[in-house]
Amino acid sequence: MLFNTPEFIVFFISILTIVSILKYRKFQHIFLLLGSYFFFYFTSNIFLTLLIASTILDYYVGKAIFYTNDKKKKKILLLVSLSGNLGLLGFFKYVDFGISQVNHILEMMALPEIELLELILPIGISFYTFQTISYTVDIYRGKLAPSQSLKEFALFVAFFPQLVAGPILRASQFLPQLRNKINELGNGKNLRQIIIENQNLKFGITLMMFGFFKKMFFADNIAPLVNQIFENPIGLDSFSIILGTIGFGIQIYCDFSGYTDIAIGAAMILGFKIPKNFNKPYFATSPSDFWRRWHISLSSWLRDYLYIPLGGNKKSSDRTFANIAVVMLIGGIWHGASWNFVIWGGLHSAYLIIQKSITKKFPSVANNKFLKTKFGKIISIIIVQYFIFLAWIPFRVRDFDSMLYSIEKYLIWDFSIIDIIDIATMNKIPIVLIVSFITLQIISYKKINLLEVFSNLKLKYWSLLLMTVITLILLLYDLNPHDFIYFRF
Amino acid sequence: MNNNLKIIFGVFCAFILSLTIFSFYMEFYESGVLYNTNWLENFNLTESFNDDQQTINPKHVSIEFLKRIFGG
Repeated sequence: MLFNTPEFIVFFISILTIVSILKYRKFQHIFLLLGSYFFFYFTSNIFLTLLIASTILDYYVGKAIFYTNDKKKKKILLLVSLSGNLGLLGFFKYVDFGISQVNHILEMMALPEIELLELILPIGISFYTFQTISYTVDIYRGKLAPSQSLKEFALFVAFFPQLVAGPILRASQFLPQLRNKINELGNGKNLRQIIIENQNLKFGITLMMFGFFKKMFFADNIAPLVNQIFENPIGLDSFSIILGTIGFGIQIYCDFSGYTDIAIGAAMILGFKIPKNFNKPYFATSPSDFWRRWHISLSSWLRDYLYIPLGGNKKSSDRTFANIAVVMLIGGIWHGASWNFVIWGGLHSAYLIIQKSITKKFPSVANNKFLKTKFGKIISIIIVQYFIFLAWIPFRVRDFDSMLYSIEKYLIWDFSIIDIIDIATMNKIPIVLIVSFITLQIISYKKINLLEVFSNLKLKYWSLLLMTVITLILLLYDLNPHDFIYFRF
Repeated sequence: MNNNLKIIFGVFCAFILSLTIFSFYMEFYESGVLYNTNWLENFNLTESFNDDQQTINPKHVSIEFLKRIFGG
């Protein structure tokens, strides 16, 4: 069930209606869990069993870790959880990729190839696996007490707004929201009544509207330009390649942050707070700043559960660089079993290592007066984004020769007037959308919080705005809704 | 009226109005009134709700409309 289909609208309205009608808190929570399972079953069919298996495994392992005092036993239990979760993820996501790599070697040795398993990737597995791993690791580290109820833990894992493409929630963020505080100091024992409050309703709908607009108006209508350019980029000039790269950067941002907005908005209407996943990433002034703004829930997960346990930046420079490389390469391959994502992760690790080396050799750079001026900031944004967008090329272009060609044209400029006219006349709408998106981003960067402004409008003006947005979406609505890009991961 | 109901009413009105504008737009486009001085005077708005007709892709209609207005 895609968010951008009428089925989801019907499903969500039904959930809201029934949750509002149900008076008993327990029934509300059970209904929300069953609704989430229905949502997942509708999207993933039989793979619902994997979600339930992962939930049961981590619930009982988490409890066992918490109640045992034997350190060795705790470690073994943690390993059971990690191997269970990572085993499932590895099997479904990377087995065929591994077999195809082995086949390359076998082919060179003139040996018979191994048959591919041709497994279907269960939707959302990369997200809920990371979510459940964080739960058991937090208990192991003594940072979290286990959930006392399987229902509540199951709802944390399966909560439908963020189930298939994040944000990756932490148990410490979600589980307390299921209970009422009975005093200022701690969590109470009562289940929280799910009440749809008007402020949350208006804010949530506005956020969902932002999400639909980003996805269906911008991302889906910029996609044809990007597809046209990167279907066969060999022979195109630098303008086309740069335009395609900018288009893809905007498309993937609108697609993924649009999904996140819908997820956060839907959860907010139900009274749940999900932390934001994006914070104007294309205004980052350094590679590390970019990772504080892009897919925040994944980058913070990798920092807390991989980078810091590896030693972070507390050891030698070489070790820090190695840690960055390992984390970014794993972050890359998390997106999918393909060398493209490894190259993408590798490029980002190179950016971060170069930044670390420069700031270490020239500590004054961080406090440079010019870089703190408005002009200096603009220059650093442009330079950083030039390289961030360069990394989108291996992310988007699957064929190796086409990728190398595109990177070459992106870095070494070579313009052809005929190509520029051709591409511009054939893609007027996507180009207008790209320019409009950049303009909107600049407006929102100037500290105007559009979301707050719109959700605080008087009801009649707010409805008018909603009507305008729906009409704009409808006018450019393609009858075949496009998948969210991150559903594939 | 309850505040939540007011908001839901606002959303409902926004939906209905935008669907109305959208239906008029599609039908006006079909009739030619949006871009052609010799538009079909006997066009029928309700025809767009006829099940036998093939569903028109709104995006293609908008692209065609913009092409006719701005050329290209």
